[in-house]
Amino acid sequence: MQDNSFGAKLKSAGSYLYREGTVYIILVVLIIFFSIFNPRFLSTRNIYNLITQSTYIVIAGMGICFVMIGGGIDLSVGYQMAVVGCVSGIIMVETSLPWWIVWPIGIVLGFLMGTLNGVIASKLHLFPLIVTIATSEVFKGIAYTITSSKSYSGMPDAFRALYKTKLFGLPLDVYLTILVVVATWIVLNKTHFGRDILAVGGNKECARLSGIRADLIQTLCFSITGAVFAIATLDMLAQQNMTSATTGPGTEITCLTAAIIGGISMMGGKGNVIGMVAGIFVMQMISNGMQLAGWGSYTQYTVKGIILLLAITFDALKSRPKAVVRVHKDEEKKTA
Amino acid sequence: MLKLEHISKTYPGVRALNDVSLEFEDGEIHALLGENGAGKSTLIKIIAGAIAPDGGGRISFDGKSFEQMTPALSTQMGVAVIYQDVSLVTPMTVAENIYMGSRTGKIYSKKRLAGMAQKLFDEYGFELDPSQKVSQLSPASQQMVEIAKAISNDAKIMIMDEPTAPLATHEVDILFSIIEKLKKKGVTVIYISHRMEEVFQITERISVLRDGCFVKTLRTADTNRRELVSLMVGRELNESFPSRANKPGDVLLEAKKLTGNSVEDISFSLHRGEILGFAGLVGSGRTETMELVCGAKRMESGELCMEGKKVSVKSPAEAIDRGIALIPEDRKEQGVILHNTVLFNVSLSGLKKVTKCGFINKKKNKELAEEYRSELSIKVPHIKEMVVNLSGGNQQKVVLAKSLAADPEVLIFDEPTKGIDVGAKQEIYQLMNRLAEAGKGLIMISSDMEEILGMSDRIIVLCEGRIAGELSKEEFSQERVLQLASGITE
Repeated sequence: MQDNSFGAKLKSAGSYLYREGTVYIILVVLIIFFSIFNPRFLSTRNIYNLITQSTYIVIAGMGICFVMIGGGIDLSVGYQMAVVGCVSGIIMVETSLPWWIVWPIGIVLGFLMGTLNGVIASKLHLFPLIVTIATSEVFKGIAYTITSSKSYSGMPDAFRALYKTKLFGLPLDVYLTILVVVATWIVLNKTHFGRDILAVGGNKECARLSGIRADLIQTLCFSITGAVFAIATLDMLAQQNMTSATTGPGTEITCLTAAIIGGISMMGGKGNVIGMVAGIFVMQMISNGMQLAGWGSYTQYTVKGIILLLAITFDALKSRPKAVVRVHKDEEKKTA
Repeated sequence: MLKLEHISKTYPGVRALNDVSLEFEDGEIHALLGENGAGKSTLIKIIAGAIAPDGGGRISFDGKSFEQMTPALSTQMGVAVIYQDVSLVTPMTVAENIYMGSRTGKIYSKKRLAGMAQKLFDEYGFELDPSQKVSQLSPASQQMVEIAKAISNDAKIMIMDEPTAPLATHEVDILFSIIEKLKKKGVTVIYISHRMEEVFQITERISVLRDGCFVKTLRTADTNRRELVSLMVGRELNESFPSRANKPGDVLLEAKKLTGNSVEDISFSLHRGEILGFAGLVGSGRTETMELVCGAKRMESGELCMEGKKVSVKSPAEAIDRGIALIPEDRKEQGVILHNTVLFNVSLSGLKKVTKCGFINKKKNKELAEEYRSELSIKVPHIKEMVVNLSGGNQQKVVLAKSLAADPEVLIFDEPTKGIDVGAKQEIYQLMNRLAEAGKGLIMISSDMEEILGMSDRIIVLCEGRIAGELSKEEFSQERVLQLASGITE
């Protein structure tokens, strides 16, 4: 029954673009818009900056994919980053432990914080939104306590090599990012586990009755999100060479907005990794473009907030069922 | 006086009500009886204005006549419906709830509201504290608050849909005394209940509906349970059911004294190649029993044996591993993931078959979906079509394909043909027969009397969370099933 004619393919590609492709259209429109207003936008230098500055946010975006496609949300990831960053930063500055020990410590720490969120949300059947707002405050407290609100800088060179070493003209962490994106894509699209995540996000009760261990899957989503955010944090630390309790928070909003722009539904069960990457570049280009235009970072907060509002509005409108309207006002009026 | 004339309601493919004419007199307690799906709920909804009837009928209140109602209009005419599940603002007090939305006095005074409520309570004999928070009340008391609210709104016609279902015995007595007081005040009470003894205890007249048609209005004093049951059933069995060639074989599944999830002491056995029907009125515990069997809810006590060996099913995942699959009643909420593809849904339970080392074999997955698509003749242009775009019958086939892909031995069908068209129904029946002939054990819950009599080898009838009786094929009759389901024991 499959129609294989060229016309039909074109038509289905068109409708696919309409349903899922909003993010690519926005991306193209933004590129055209910014390059018209600022010729420097498309310079090699700026593109290089755009890519190298985006690496850890793309990795973080992959992290948020898991929890959001699994039907949850995690607002505590910003302060999870702060905790991981501070713990690993302090270890490296205060002791002489090598980077290959610091990395696993950071990732395990992220994994544990995510698991905490996941266990609370799925076992006690609480809303992930509220749970993670609460744990976010806990992590914030921890981050400020362990750093005594100081900042730490001067990471070892071996650790910074991730950013400093170049391969084919690009820093190593660009390749790490590509690796994380590919791995995420494989897990979500090619594995049993990824299927279960989509199923749980799409309809948890149906998934449970179909024999999927829904609570476990949901918890693991939070754990993986935590672990991937830890990777993002360590990359960020290698780039910025300093850490404090305030480095990291804010990333969650960028990722969340990018995810929604990229077609990952707030309701869960839907989304693809490539859309997510495109969504992050939309966000990064907006801030990059605004920087080039000389707008301060405070204006950027406002603009990002407005974009998030617009994105969730469109997401809600797309998934809202069409209401059937039936009005019988006439008889009511007659009696009144 | 409320008068309904020639009320019909047609849904696509179903005639829920067919030319019903009924009269309710002022100050009478009038029972509405009928088996599941007879049209009682549809009729109430039409009176309350929640749905509009087909054209041509009239609804008259003391001479004022309307073609159809709206919720606002029916409130204006003094209609109040007390549903089983209450809708109150629980953090507020009883009095605040009762007078919600009404403007009394110049300023808002809790004390005055409480005083007014107390007066109302004294008049009708409610045992409630007006200044107590609703959240602290028992379900029964919350229902009383609903009734008091309706009274305070000058309700002239009060419709009660299974009001005693959540109540304990002494609470039922309180409810009945309130109904008596309402009657004295000239309020018409339309009382819907599955419990026969209650109907005989308080009502004056009884109207029977069957298959969406009005059958008869009788005076309660002039009738008895047997007559009512025969009026409720007397249905023509005109649908044909495909016959099976095989005879039931060995015992496959045995349930011993299952208790928990609002059912008690349920024991039964299921043989290979058998379709075991579970009948009962809505709320009798059929679905709840099956939730225990398939691990969706935990049992408090009792055990399950598969082929003589004791098995534990603590979760649906475990049940599926043991070969027990459920085809749930609520397709859209529990059966499928609507906003995903047929391919995805079909391989939900049987994903292990198409994965190797955790990775999905795309080709095998496709083959699996195509296999079931042709075997169950799921009518879909492409297996990558979203399930939400499919018809009810095809959605049901997707749910079935999903369960079959897990290679179960026991299949539990909860209302398998609910809301699907006649052609697809026949296909599902044939499929069930094929499964039975292949030696699987099937359990079918159905509220459709015709279906359960036509398809089952044996029927177990539940009543109020317990087994009321078991019928073998020779004993099958609509009357027997309904008698057992209504708790008539002889």
